[in-house]
Amino acid sequence: MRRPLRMRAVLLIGMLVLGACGRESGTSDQDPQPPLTNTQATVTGVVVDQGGRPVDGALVQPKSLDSPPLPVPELAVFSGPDGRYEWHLAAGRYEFTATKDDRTGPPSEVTAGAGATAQVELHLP
Amino acid sequence: MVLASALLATLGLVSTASAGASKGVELGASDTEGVTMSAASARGLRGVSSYEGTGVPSDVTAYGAQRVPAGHRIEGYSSPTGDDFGTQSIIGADGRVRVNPTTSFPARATVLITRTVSGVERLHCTGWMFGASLVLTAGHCVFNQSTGWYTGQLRFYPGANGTTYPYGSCTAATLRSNTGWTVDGSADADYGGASLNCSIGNTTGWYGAYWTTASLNGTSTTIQGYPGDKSQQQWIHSDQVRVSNSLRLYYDNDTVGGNSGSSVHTVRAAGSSGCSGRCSLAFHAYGVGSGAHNSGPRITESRFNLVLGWR
Repeated sequence: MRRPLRMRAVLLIGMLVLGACGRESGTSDQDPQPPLTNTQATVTGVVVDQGGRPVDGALVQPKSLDSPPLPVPELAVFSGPDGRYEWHLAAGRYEFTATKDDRTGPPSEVTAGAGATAQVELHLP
Repeated sequence: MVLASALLATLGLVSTASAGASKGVELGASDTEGVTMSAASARGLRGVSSYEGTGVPSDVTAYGAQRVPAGHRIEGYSSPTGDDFGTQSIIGADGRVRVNPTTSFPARATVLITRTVSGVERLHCTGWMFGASLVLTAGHCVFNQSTGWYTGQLRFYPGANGTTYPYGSCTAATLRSNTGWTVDGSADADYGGASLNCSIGNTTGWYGAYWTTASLNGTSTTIQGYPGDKSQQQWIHSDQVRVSNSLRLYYDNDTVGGNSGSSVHTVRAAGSSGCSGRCSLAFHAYGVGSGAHNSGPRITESRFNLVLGWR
């Protein structure tokens, strides 16, 4: 009689441990900060106009060039007053473009590695 | 986890009933209506219905929101032509249509999220009201694995319409996500939210949501939100679920950066089991990836219970 109960308890504990693996627990900015990771690639740079002046407020969009393409987070990322922008993405090969008003610049290709930062200057006509 | 749950249920050690519902929330009865049954698995469906709110308030401060004067400057892209500018998450021709005005439901429960960096406020993401004081969105709109939480940087404008803000704005008291995103960085778990310091949802209303273990292939999908190429205007496009995985839905709704966090919702008739009205199926998060579809984390039973507990 005791053995089945003990086995059942062991099985329950095992199942709870198994169930905890990969479980999505709620977390918030009130909790201790989770360790920040270095697995993403960072792509940063400056958007400039034809005169080489920084462009404020250009929408900077990546497009995956991998095959199959990597999904891209659909954040709105704009260049700042100094023309700088920053994207954090899965490591891979991307084409970046900058758009402002009715102007879209030529695409610039970059290969971004995990934990590395790639610099890409983007141009607006 | 599924295996564990199934085994525990088989052993009779836990209940399979949904748990974690907030006080005052009425869950639809679990059923199998419209779902093909198999001998091996009984499928479930459970949800909460949308609430259309009370309309435009005479004074948003009565709900704890801040008034925002017309013309308030949120920096961002402006397109005189509004033309497609070559993003790959516009699939085929750009089928988006502007929502104007934004004071009807669910436009007013659709939230422009901005982020202020170095004193400059810009369009960042989209969210959807899911309670009087709760906005749901993508996880990457509230937490970045490289830089952490966007605490103190985000502002929420329900029903923003270009340069007018009929429901004012609110800030976040608490940003929320889940460890699948903040610790594991899983795109399948890329969802989150914000508990607001206002109760503007009482007037804007809120989306419903439901989960089902059945395939959602062919279910209509609507995404309305704030794409980065449209100057803080709300735009909408409809399609259908093309692929339904257990943790992610894939669809061909046209989206652009800034649409992250939009509700991927379907319309269900009054009296539908689980959820009626505007019923969210997923959190939009990603532009075209593998399979050439846009995608977002699917609302599952455990996710439904988690976000309901944030109310």
